[in-house]
Amino acid sequence: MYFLKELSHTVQLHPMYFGPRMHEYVEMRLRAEVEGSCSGRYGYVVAVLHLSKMSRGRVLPNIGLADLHARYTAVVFKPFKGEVVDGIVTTVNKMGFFADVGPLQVFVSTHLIPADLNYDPNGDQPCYTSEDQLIQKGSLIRLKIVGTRMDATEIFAIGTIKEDYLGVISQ
Amino acid sequence: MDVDYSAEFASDGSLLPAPSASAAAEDAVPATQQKKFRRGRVEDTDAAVLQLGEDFNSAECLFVTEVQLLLRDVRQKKIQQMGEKSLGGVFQKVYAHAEQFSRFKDDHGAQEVRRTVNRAQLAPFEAAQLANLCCEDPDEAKSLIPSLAMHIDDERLQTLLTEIQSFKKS
Repeated sequence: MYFLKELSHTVQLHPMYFGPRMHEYVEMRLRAEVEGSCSGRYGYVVAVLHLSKMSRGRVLPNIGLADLHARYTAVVFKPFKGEVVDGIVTTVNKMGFFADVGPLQVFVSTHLIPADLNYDPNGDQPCYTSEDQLIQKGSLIRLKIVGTRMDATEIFAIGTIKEDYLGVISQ
Repeated sequence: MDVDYSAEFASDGSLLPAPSASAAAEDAVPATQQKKFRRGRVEDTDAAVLQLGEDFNSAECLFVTEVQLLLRDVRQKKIQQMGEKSLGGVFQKVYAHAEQFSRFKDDHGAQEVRRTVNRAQLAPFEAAQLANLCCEDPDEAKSLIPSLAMHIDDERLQTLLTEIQSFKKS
């Protein structure tokens, strides 16, 4: 799910930037440091929309750098167990398939694919087929997240399509 | 990387000349919460019963269409200022996903849907999921968003779904 969330971050500033354009520089640094970052607590920080508050900064003893705290509003993406999402299939193999949901990679194992979908390795690309569904690279798919694993820089999820109303999205 | 330093922020804020009282109080709460996280306690989250953890239980949820509209502006500004290379990988993946799965025609459609779901007084998560998934009938909606069954009856859900459908991209 995408959220609008207020977060805070500390930027350490070298004295050479103390001056009239300091705030602009801090904003640039903040964007560079937090956009695209990922944490277990907040998920992916996609984009900073605006800064709401910036502290006056405090020079750190001994090193001369200054700490500036900024509060900002950002679009964040965090997947939850039990959430239903739409994604695009990226790889299909005999263990199951991978789908991309924005920055999140979801794996759906064969155990969580309905039994009537069979793996077919012959043909120009591997796929899962049944009478009325075809899952191959590029298919749009609706799946339910059953578990997530947070890494330092990425989130992985396990999904299922073995429930009602899940599976290929027909358009 | 953990971006929240609110514990330090609170102790530091008291040194500032004029920190507003409310902001200091706001910072004091996460300071205690953070201890729990530092000890490595993992919160149980489950979207099926609307438990998103302390940080997200009352956070504002966005539809995919709203994400696309917000990011479209950010994207244009960035490309103008620093060229297309300045867009990070996460940003581009999210934008591509949002463009692909954006359900409503334009800004106006998204606003109307937002107003419609707000009127139904559902939890922010349920409202956003309804708009994202564009279900056709109440059974489908309740199967994909189990917590709906507790908050809304079939009849109202049906009218809500029909209304959302009418703004859908053809």
